[in-house]
Amino acid sequence: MRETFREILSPLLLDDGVAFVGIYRVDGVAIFAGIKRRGVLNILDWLEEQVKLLLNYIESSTFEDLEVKISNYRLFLQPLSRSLVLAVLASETASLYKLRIDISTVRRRFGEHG
Amino acid sequence: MAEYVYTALPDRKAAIEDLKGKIERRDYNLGVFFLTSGLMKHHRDFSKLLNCDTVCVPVEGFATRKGVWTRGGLLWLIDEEVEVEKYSGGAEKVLRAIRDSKSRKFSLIVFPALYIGSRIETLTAMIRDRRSYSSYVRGNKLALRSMSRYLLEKHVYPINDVLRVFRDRGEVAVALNLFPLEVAFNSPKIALNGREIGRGLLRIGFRRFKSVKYEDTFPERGRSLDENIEILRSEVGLLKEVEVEFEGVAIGSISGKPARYWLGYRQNFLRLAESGEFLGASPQALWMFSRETNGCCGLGLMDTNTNFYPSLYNLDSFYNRMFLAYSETTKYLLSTLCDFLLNSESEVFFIDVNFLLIYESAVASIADCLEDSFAVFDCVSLTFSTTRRYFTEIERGIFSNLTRNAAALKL
Repeated sequence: MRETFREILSPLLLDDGVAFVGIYRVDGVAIFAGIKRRGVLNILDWLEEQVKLLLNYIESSTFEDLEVKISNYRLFLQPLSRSLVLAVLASETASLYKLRIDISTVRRRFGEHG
Repeated sequence: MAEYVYTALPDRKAAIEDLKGKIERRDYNLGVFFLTSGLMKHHRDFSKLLNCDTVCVPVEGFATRKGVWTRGGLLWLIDEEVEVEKYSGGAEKVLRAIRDSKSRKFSLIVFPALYIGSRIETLTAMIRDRRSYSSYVRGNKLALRSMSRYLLEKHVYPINDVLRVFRDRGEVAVALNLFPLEVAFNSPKIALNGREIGRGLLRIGFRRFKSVKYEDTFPERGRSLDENIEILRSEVGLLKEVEVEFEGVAIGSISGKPARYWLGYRQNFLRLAESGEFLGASPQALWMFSRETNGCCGLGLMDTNTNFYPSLYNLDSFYNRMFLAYSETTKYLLSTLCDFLLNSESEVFFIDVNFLLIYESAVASIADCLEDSFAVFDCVSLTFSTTRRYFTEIERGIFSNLTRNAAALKL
């Protein structure tokens, strides 16, 4: 499964503007994590604490998805299924509209894989 | 069915390896690489993947049945009989050379409507702009004509002038008017067989083709100018009527003020172009109507730090009465585009890049409308014959819009 995740996420993982790509279970446990910059580890620490709450909002359909600015990064949280959520942390200099389009395509690809 | 392979990987090495694994043979007649911005600078490495002529074209994104991507690249493998011709130099020289060239049933032409030269060339253009403009505001109207000549020689290939040459010879042509969203010096880049052509035009001539179709996402054109103004008003909302003074491709003033006066923001062109971060798109546009057909097209207004504003069209066939609009409504556009993709029975689609900006993540849904075909996102204009009264027919048989149109090709 890790290899499938890695293959589907590779367009994001190989992007210089993306610092972290992860897949979280709704209980907040990361089942895949691609960390590309050490500098984001403190953000990920924070994220681990907050993600459960954020994911609850998504899971209960209060939010369809979530995009927030943290420090010099932008965090995208997007549901992949009822139990999995995709997290992408991108630097502010990354082209955000392009990222939104490509994250949508990544989500579609996860849908194809069931 | 168009033969193509693609990669969504943004890294040069990984993208080349990915494509290498997907290409079944290397001896096609032509390979056209549509590369997204990060990969375009490595065009030479990509061109080595094939043992045939290659063309590398920068695009903002591409779509296949599997999804829409703004990273990576798509390689169109062509086995048809094609000839690639390169024309470079000033607009007049290029147009003359095309007029003298061999006729083709169908041409895909790739050129920068506006070419940004080196830093020195850009500075020279800005100094010239300041000097000429001070003469222009003192009443010297010849300064406007002189600026138009300068822009034609150094920076602009007017879309309608280029397409007119093909129309007059009864040819069908689709033009990719490259205008990158991230503007940098010496851009946009086009490469033929691994070598950049600088400011120039590439023509891929096909001996045969089956069909070309077009969709401008506007209602049909009315009979009168006033009727068309009302159509535009219902499509883009609030319009501000302005009187524009122009000559050729140079806009001198909009209601007595320089074009940049009407912009709601300021950008430092030189600094942003240095880092390739100048955004080549704008929510503010100047909408203009053709004297010949009453057809309409838009010209985005950006802060180019100049007083004269370069037009991507030769404006001599347009009314001086034009309209400023701040933003576009987005009703129906995506569903109209999807209908076009589904019903065109075509292999290759060229979709205006503004669809990416307007719809962002929602644009991913167009992948469902593509069967074995693919689409690339760029600015598109074309010349062909049709009985439909397209709103964006700016001269007889010439269709351009630069905001929300698409073309389809079947070989």
